[in-house]
Amino acid sequence: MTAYILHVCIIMVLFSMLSLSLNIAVGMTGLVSLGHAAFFGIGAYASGLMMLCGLPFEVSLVLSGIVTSVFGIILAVPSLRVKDDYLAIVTLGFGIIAVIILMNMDITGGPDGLTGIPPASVFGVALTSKPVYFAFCSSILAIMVLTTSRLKASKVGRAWAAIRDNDTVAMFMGINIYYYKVLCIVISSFWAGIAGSLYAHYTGYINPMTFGMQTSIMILAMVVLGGIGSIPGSIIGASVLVLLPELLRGFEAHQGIFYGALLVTMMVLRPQGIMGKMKVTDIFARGS
Amino acid sequence: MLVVSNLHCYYGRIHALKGISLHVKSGEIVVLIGGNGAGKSTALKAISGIVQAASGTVTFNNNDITHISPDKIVMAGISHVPEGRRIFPRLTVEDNLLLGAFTRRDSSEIKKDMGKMKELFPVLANRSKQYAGTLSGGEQQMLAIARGLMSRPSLLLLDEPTMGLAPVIAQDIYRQVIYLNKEQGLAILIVEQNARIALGLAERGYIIETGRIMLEGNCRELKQSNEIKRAYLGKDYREVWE
Repeated sequence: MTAYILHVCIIMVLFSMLSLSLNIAVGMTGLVSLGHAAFFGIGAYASGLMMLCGLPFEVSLVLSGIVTSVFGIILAVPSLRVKDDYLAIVTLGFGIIAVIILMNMDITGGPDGLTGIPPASVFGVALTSKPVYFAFCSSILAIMVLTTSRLKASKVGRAWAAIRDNDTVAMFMGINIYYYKVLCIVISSFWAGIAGSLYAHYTGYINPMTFGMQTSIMILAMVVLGGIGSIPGSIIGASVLVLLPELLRGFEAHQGIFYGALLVTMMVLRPQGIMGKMKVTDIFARGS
Repeated sequence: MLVVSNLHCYYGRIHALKGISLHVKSGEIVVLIGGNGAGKSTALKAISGIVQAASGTVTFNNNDITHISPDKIVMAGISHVPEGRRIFPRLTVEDNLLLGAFTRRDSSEIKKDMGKMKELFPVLANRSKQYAGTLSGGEQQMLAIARGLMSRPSLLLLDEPTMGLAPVIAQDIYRQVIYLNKEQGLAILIVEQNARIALGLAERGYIIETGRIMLEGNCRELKQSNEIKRAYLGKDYREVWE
């Protein structure tokens, strides 16, 4: 039983990282992404492959974040010419392409995925036991929360907020909006990659389907439910949406109904999410 | 100080500016008058680098800034207050002001300037923690101007600063604009639809119609021009022509 609870807790922490990393793009900068799970997947595969090639965990964890950022730049440089709904569609395409590539490359194991990914170990100490791994992931989440909140209050965060509110006026202020948008994607994808790495070494097995559109939309739902632009909201949103299916396991067949009903009710009664200040329509589907 | 010569701009296929030439000397208030779609705002955007010029040049203090990015233009000392008081509604008044100083790195001086802005526009003083979107229209315009001043410009571009505001508030805003010009020597280029206010305010003016400068000159002379009386000042036809 404790093993099960710890398992749910670890997944909660990993999805908190994902939802917070997406919130950096969506909530703080107004860049809508429907393909965030692709970054999660890139991090997971990068880290798995690097460790299978014999790199130590510490190195592959950090490198997987960096590799994912590089993919973030590859996506950002051409796609940031468009914004809002158009950007959402571009990122949706990116997510689909990423899964297809993972599915068809030999090195990634195709549809079978990667197996036998070694578990994490830091400085020779294996992190195989669940409580230890939970503590490890939580501390990385803590670092992430800390750096993100510092960033949000800094000049960079202010530039992001300006871009989110009105990117033309941000240009009037002398903000190089292209640079700050790319920076945002780099940081957002870095953390998604780290979450991917932690996930790969936790399960030991990954396959492309985990990183598809379903997951992207799930992460976005966590952001919206928790509160667009809110750091604690990201964690609460992720926790609720990870916990809920577990709590509803007794109602196997009706699980989806409850899940959907919760989201619909939320959007009607509290469109700004649990902790947020902005409504979905402040970011999506706004006329510019 | 600012010299624009033979500037052409396009929006896609639309030829928005068809060879505009104008200049602003230091310490001067110059006004750009014209109807909707005449190209007034485009002219300002081309100066501040938001819209790319197809041909022609913009020079500022003898430096060519025609194809320079907007952030470099702000750093060079041109600040553009966009039309429709586009403040950042979901940020506080203070954050809006700080964003105005985005290109600056001297944080202690920025703090001092924040204080100055609150003296200049007292309504902003006790609202610094309030979301800018909750301010009234006039207050938002004052914030937009204050935000524009935070970059310490030597030339301020004001795009229809009194659009949609009550006359009393419009007067208030222009009083501050004149103060900035007279007391601080700030050069100001104003775009205005209301020709009566504009001509009373500035020393020189340009009349722009469908992307071309139709008339230019001293404001006192412009006010006497029959053409202007008829088209912009709403004078009775008979008074002008008979």
